[in-house]
Amino acid sequence: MIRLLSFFVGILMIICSQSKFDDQAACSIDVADTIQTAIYVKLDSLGIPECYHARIFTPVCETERCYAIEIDFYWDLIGRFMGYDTIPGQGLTKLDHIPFTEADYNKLDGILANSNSPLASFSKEELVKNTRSSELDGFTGATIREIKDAIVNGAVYSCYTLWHIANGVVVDSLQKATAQMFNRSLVNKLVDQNNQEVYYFLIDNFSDEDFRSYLPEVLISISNGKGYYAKNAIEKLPEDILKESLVQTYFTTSFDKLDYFAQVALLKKLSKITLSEDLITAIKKTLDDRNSYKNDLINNLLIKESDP
Amino acid sequence: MRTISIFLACIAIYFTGIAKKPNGILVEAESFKNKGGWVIDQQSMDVMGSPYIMAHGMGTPVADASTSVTFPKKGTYRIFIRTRNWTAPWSSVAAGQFEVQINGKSIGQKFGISNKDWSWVYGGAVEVEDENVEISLHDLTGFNGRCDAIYFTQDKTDIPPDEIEKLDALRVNLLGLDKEPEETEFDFVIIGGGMAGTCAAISAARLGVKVALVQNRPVLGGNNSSEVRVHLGARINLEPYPALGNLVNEIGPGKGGNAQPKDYYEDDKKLQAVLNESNISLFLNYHANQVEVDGDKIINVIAENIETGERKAFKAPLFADCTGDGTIGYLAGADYMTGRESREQFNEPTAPLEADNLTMGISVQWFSETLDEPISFPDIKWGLPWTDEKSFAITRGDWDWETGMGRDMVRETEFIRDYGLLVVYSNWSYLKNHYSNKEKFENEKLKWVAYIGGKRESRRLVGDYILTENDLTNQNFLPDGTAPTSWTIDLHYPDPENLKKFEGEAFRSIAKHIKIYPYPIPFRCLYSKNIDNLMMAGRDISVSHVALGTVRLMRTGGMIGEVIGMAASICTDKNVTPREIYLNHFSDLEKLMINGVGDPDIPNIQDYNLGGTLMETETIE
Repeated sequence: MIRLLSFFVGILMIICSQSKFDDQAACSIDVADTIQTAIYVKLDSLGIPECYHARIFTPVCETERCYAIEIDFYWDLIGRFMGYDTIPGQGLTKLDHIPFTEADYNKLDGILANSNSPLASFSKEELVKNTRSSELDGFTGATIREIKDAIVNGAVYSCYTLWHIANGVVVDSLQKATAQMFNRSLVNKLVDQNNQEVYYFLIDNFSDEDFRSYLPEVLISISNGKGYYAKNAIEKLPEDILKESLVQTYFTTSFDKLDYFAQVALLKKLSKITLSEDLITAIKKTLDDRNSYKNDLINNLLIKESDP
Repeated sequence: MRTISIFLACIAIYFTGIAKKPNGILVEAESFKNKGGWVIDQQSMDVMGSPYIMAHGMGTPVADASTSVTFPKKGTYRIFIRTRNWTAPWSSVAAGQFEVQINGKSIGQKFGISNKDWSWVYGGAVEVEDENVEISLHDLTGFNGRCDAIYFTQDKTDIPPDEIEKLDALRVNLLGLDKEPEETEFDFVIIGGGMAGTCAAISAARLGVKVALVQNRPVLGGNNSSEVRVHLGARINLEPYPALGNLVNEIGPGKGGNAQPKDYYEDDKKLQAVLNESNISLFLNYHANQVEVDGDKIINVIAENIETGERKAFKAPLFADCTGDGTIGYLAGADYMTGRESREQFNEPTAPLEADNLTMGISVQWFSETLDEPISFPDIKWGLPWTDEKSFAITRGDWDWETGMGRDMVRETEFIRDYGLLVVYSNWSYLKNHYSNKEKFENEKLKWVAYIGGKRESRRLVGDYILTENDLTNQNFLPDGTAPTSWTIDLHYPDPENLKKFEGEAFRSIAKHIKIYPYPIPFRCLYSKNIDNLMMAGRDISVSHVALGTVRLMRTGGMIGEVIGMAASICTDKNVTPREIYLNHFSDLEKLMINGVGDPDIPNIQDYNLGGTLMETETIE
């Protein structure tokens, strides 16, 4: 059974879980103290990485009774948890082996999808208090109030364990794994998602060499990014890349479309570089009647260009 | 401390419309030497004529307020008390009753009972047997009895006036307020010592500007002070100027939470931060209520001490209105907006079709504490009719105890705050005395109820740019962007269920949120369009009602304060107006915003109440 976290992610996950193409081990994580689990990258029909998959096998003890959980997990290429598949005959259970209901599974979807869950802030030992309470969850104590909405009743340790597997150190590992696989088709595919978080993932993980290799993709992301993305991406561009004619041509046509703060970020970087006449003209056109830091930077550029 | 404001009208004084000599002694209650348990309330002084004192005992009569008065001669005096029955709009029983005592003896009647509006109540004839007399106000109920002034006269035809203008003339004449106020000159005068004004003052002072900070309460912090107890909200240190907010971080409380014990709000931390700046002259307890204008410029702002009535004139080439109410702009003739704009006016999807006056309200927050043994609370007869179904079986009233939505936030402040008190007491009295499960509240003591209302919205002064919902939701970054607003567009409305239960006068509110990405507020929203030397910071900046929903948060207001403090340094150095900064010197301001004025090395411990901001990598669900 495929659990759909949301329509969009759900579609991706169906693609991911149905991918027939061969997996390759991308990394591994420790799901329990002693169990290391391999995570596999799933490829699309063109052989480009699509998502990550792992069959998780982990013991969970709800109070005094322990269970083994076996479940398939999926993450996208930047480590965001996408969802899970239960394995026939291996459905999740709560205290006393009571099987999860449909409502429990629905709740678990939301719990695992929430990367900001309060479960992040507590150790396993802190989840239950040994006090009298109407919120009894097991034989030994009450679930602490802070996580009440972040668990399925009667399955506090299962939820905790699964959430940490889904959203814990794995995120970093998967991001590193993806970064190691960077090639033109993968970066192209990522940029095509037109997703701000993916854009930031790329510029945060690109080496100077990557910026050079994937320059067209970076420039596309600058055009499509929202908020301060253009500013931040420009700030990350290695300086010598700005000398390249592709870059100067790009900014010649797009300078006036950049927001003010991205323009300022770019002008700061251009101060040490020889610029094409077209770019200078394009920049000069944006000179404002009123004083601004941007104007100052443009005027400095013009002085520098006229008196090299 | 002040000397007591008692002045004898021995000289011939004429005042408007009364062709006779006032022949009395006016004793202002707020000037009493010993306030006992009474508190000064100046919130409505521009409407009812004066600060007054109030017995805010939360059900327990407060200690007497007293003062000594020297009479010119012994004899029989007629006595008048300026007071009102604050529960008269809702009940025939008066909540706040008190006695007046002369040398420890009651003059024989109770006050705070008869009159709905502020007026003089005749208290009979009193015999003054010694020139030196001790006058006391003796609270009988602990429920906000209030007294503005006491008037003694030997002239049977001398009745003090109720009309505000005439009363004002009487005060001016009898209290010697007619003399020219002492004038002091500064580079920059900031009116209002909330988070915005306080940050503006420190920011400007650190950049070398000689600042006067004028605040009409004894503490700084405004809504974040221990008088109101709203915690700071929204984010600091954001793009495009991450150094903005360092000062907010420096002076803001380390702990979050609304309606919490007093120490949460760290009043002293804010005060000390201001006192540490040698360029700031701090004027606490001064309420600015007069402005001298020359053409499009403010020359002087005149403020009155809320305790002594003493007036001071603050002269400067540059002013900042951080009053929240836009008081200075209003007095100077600045263009302003109130209420809700129509959808058509700024093409805002969230605006109502027709403009109206449904502003956000004033919060009167409260909480109780649990004692080891039962404690009673008066079974009040003047509260609203209450039932189990109407009651809120809780021990703390948060921001959503909000009154006055749809009323005039400036003219009706006293009514709005009083309604807040009325419903808190009505609910609590019911829980303690009649609630079906009243045992649950047996050991609960009403510990704190605000008497300074937490106001969200009043006048918004119009700048060269008016920020609207569309700028925010379209992320329409403008070149003069400054401090980023980051809270949701958070607009409050009367809770429909509560509105129905309480016949159109709701006291509980709901909030509707629209998520936005942080958005840098244009500098043109921070100075008046038609008063050349007036800037603003806080909730009275140039925004639509809808946009106010996000910019009104106090961390944002504090950052705006940082920005106008920086602007003040440029105005001072270059002798220019704020508009000229925008036109001709904006790069200087940008550089200052890049550097910031706060200490960047203090760790950010204010991780509370950041709000549902959409950060760069998040998408709208």
